[in-house]
Formats: sequence, structure tokens, C-alpha cells
Amino acid sequence: MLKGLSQIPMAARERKPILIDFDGVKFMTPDVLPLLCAKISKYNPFVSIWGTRPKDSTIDLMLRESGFYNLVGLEKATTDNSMLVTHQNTKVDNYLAKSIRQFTAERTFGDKDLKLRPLYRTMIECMANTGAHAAADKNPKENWWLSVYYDNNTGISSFAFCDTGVGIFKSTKLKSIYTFSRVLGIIKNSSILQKILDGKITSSTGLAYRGKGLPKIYSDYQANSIKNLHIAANDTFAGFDSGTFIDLKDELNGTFLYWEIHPK
Amino acid sequence: MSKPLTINIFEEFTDIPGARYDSEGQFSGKSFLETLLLPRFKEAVGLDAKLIINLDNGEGYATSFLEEAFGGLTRIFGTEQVLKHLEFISFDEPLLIEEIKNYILEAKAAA
Repeated sequence: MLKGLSQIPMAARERKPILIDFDGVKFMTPDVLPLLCAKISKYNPFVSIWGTRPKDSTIDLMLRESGFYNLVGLEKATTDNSMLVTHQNTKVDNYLAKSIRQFTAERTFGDKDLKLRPLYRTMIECMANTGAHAAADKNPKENWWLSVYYDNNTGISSFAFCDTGVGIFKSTKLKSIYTFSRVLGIIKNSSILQKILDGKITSSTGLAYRGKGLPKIYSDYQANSIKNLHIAANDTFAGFDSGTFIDLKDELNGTFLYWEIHPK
Repeated sequence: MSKPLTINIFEEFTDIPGARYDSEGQFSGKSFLETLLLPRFKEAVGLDAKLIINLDNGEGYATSFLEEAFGGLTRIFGTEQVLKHLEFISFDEPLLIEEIKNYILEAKAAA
């Protein structure tokens, strides 16, 4: 998916119309949807982007409820009573975070009033990071996208958040030792990501008391309050359950987080 | 010390705390500091009273909200004064109290 998405900016620069063809797609996970919608939303003011429907009814439902069909002009998105909800904004949206918490509490735990504070906190941290880091002061209205998908079979709610900003590694102010080591190839972004999550590298502001959002998300994951955390930024993808760190061939311009809430 | 003052964030400010600044979105830590925490803290200091902050019943707190509110207060009054007058209630998330105290201690260096 990243490889396909990476072609959108190039096609947009050349003013070439883009067709996103789902006709033969037989398998898709919901985490790709906010990335897809974010890219289309960012570039469709400049270039025509069209889409086709998949034959697979599950994927068709996911695409419809994500707002994809609306973005590519196939139809209006419906979100009422849906299993998948996709949202976008530029600022922290506390009301949305609360409504998604309620959605999750109702679907996964059968109790709309059950507070899921690590979930609410994680959503606010992600949205705040977009405002603080993604824009890198050049475009302060950088969008974020957030999707929640409820799986009827497992009871698991899965969340995917992304922005189309500069990404963690291009926004984080690194100590010169890390910058030097990275240029020389001695240290990889995956190691730097782990240090950021452990709170050992300060935020892009350079102020020691800032930049605690990602470490908090990671500590909520370590405490099992959120599950199956994945983070991708720039050229690095990390899946923490499996301890997988992958160097991406097709760079992600932005930051992507995925996590789940499981029934007890 | 005099009878303690209180702030119940859920009842007096919001159930949906946001991030650090108003420019990032609603119900920010800076807004909480300026509209509620700072005036009542000054009152508590003037009365030589404790100020008890009740953190319960809301949706949850982002790190930037807590740091800007309580770290921000410390950058004005200093660690000793803030720790002398503030107390916390957090039955929902007891570890929040330790987290906030760390922000207060770390803010000393930035003051």
C-alpha cells in the first residue's frame, strides 16, 4: 500500500489523473484506510483521483464506511451505526475523542459509559503531536486522520491514526551525536524511535519538559492498556508485539500509529 | 493551615481535557492554568491553605495538559511553594499523582 501511496504525490505534481483500482483486491486490513484517505484528501484539490469498487463485499463495506467512495466521487459516505468511522481535522478534537471512546466502550465492552482513559489519552496525544510536530512550522494546518474499526467476530476495536506531515524523525530535534551517527549509518531511525519512546530524546521544541506524548502512549502499551501497537514514520516501521523493526523502501511522509482495544 | 480549597476539574472545567495550548484545541492545560488553577492557587497561598485538585470522572489527561497546568504553575511559583500547597485526588488513575509530581519537579529546572 505504501508503494502505491508514494506514487500519488508524483502523479499529482505531473497533473496526471489517478485511478485507485480495488477491483481485484481480496484482502485488506482497516489500518490502511486513514493513510489512503489522508493521501487522497491532500492531493485531490490538485489532481483528479478516481476509484473503483472491489468485488469483495467486506472490503466494499470498509471502503464505503471509511469515506473513500466519497473522496473519489463514487458516493456519499455513511457513518451511522457503522463498524468503521474515519475522521479528519487539524486540531485536537476532544469531542471526537470522547465519541470514539463511547463507540469503543459500547461495541467492545457493551457499556457506553465505561471510561477508557488510556484510549482517550492516546487519541489526544496523537492529535496534539500533529499540531506540534507534523507541520514543522511550514504548514500549521496539517491534517490528521483517525479511523476506528470494530470487528464483530473478535470484539476488538482497532485504531489507525496518521498525518501527512514531516514525520517523527524529520521533526525531532536530535542531539548532534545522534545526527552524526545517523548520517554515518551507525545508528538507525529504529533505534532513535526506541529512545524517543523511552523518553531519552527530547521533543522538537528542544524543551526538556515537552515531548512526553509518544513515551506515554508507549507506557500505556507496556501496561497493556492499549494493545498491538505499531508505529511507522519516515523510513521506519515498528511492531512492538513482535519486536519487528523494518526499514521501509517506500518512505512514509508523515506519522502512522495503530493500536487495539481488546475485550477483557 | 486554613481549611483547604478545592478544584474539581470534571465539575468546574471540563470532562474532556485537551492538549497544551488553546491554539491546539479546546480545554487546554494553559486555559485550565489561567482560568482556574492560578487564581485559586494564589487564594490558597494567601490563606496559607492547601488546594486539593480532584482529577476524577473525566475522560483522561494528555501529558501536555498536565505538564502545562502543573509544570506551568511551578514555573511561576517554584517547586517548594507548589508542593507545599497542592494535594491531589485520583481514584480513577492513582499513578497520575506521581506523574504530576514528576512534572512539578522537572519544571524546577526549566523555571
